This record gives sequence, C-alpha cells and structure tokens, in this order.
Amino acid sequence: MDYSGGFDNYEGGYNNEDTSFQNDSSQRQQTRSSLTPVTIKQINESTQPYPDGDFQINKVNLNMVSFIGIFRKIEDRKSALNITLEDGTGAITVRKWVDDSQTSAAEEMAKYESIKGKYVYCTGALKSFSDNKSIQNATIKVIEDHNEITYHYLQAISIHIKAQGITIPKDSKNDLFVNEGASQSGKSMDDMVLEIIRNNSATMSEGVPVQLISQNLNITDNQAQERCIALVETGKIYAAYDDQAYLAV
Amino acid sequence: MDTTDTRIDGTLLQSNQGKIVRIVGKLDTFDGNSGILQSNGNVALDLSNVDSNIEVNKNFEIIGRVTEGLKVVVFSVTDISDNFNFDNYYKLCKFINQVPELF
Repeated sequence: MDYSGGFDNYEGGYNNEDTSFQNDSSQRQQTRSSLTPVTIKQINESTQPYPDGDFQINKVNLNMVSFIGIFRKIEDRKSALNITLEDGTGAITVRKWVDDSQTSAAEEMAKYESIKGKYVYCTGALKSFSDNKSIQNATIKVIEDHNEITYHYLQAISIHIKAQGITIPKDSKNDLFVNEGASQSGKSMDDMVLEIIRNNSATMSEGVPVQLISQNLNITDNQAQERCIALVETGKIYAAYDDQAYLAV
Repeated sequence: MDTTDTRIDGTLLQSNQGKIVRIVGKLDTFDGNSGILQSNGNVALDLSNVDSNIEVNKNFEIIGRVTEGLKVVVFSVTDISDNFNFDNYYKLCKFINQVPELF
C-alpha cells in the first residue's frame, strides 16, 4: 500500500531564508511552498504574526511542514478521518478528507488501521482555523527505513540552528562521520591538506602548489599529490592552473 | 498520548531518573517479563506491561519510565528496521539535549 502523495523532497526547507526577503509576488509563492522539517512541538508552539501569513517558531518560517510521528489514533468523522500522530515532543491531529466518489470512510479506516503504532512521515500545509492549527492536504507515508527518523531530526535541528544565526564551526562539521585514517592530532591527512589549501586559496589565485603542501606537512610531493587527487574526487578542491596547484571549492 | 518524553540512549539514563523516555536499541535478552536493550550501554527493561511481538536481536524503540534502579518500565514498543545506524542515533541523542526549543 502506498500512502505517499508526492512530497518526498526533504531539502525544500533550506531555501526558506534566501527567498523570504523578496517582496515580488512570484518569489513569495516560492517561499510559501518550501517544505520545512520540524518536530510536533515546533508546530504546536508556533505563532502566526499576521492572519493568513506564515507561522513562525524561533525565527523559522513554517508553511509547508514535514514531521515524523507514531500513528496513534484514528477517528471516523464521516466525511473525514482524524488521525493523531505523536513524536514524544507533542501530539497533533491530521485531518484526511474522504473522497466519496473514490472510496468510503470505512474503507479508508481499514487502510489506516493497519499502520497504527508505526512510524509515519507526514507532510502538509500548516493552517489555522479559529485558533486551532491544522495540517491541510496532508500526505502520510509509512516509514520503512527508520534511519529517516534520525535524519529528519538532524535536519530540523540544522534548520533551527541556522535560523538563530549560529554558524557551525568547521571542525565539528564532520562530527557524524568517522574520519578515515585519522592521525594522532585527530585530523586526517586529507583534512590537513584541505586546511592548507583553504587557508591559502584567497592569496594564491593561481592555486596552492603541491610542493607547499608537502613542505608544510612533512610528506613527499607524491603523497601530497595523491591526497589532492582524492580531494578533487570528493569535490572539495579543484585543479587550478595545472594539476600541480589546487584551489578549495 | 498527550504526555511528552525525552529521546535518549543508555548513557543518559542516570540524568533522566523518574522521567518518561524513548530509547532505540537492539534487544539483547528477553525472558517474557524483562529484557536487556543495547543502546550505547545496557538498559534493563521491565516488559510485563507489553504484549507486542518482541524478538531478541531485533531493533526496537521503547517508551517507558526510568525507575530509581535505572530499570525502564516499558509502556510501548515500536519496531525499528534492521539497518538502523546507531552511531548516528547516539549523536542525535546528544544534540537533542542542546535544543530544548525543538524537543
């Protein structure tokens, strides 16, 4: 059974801040359709500064939202089903309208009954009716790979932190990943090569020479060249004038 | 389910005594009423209130209350897929503490 409705794009939320300063109506439309990953607590605590405007929570604009929760309860309201999702930070009721020409409320109930107690990924537009928040045009998809839960929360945290104007220090960028061949100082050779290229890119417009890297790190030119090629392959640097000098992306 | 809980791993049991928590881990042992969940350390579970299908060596998310003896009395169990990356999860548990605005 497929409950997805085509909102599998997780990246939408990142574009929020860039476009929200534009007053042009077409640009505003774009902002309004971006999808922001959030926790249910953020939805419940968000406020709407202007009627019919975007909701806001801690400087993050919310319009289309995505969240993750356990499917806890379903109620038959004849023309619609009220589905309660909960993620530990709060609970929210999502209304799914029943299209009588296609299916019946009982049929839809049976379909959703089977996903009770499972994790689902939900997207929709955040709206407010007489002070009650609701999720319109909701799509509900069962999560098969539960790493999605971790990734969703990490994305929500990332967007929240960026909206507060806090920049993530470069060193902690790779926190989640194990560095290959980490040296005693905790940095891998690749990281150290990259650091030298980054530090010198601004002043050496024709590229940071391989010889400079090898001298700095006390390694042979060939070793430095090998590291540079590896960094080119991962897209972090590129060859400048020739393959003896590199610039950081 | 109007109550909220904190997502943790085994290392954060001590600081969440008496609270309702949510832990993802791999079930190491299970004898009908109790079990051990591995989640960055061993978590002793009281599973006498749970009637879900529970299997050893599978991943589960449990919701329960941490007792004074650091045993978790489980209210609810949810299946988690076999490919779950626990290293990422342990990192997430550390970050969650730092953003109370979200969790």
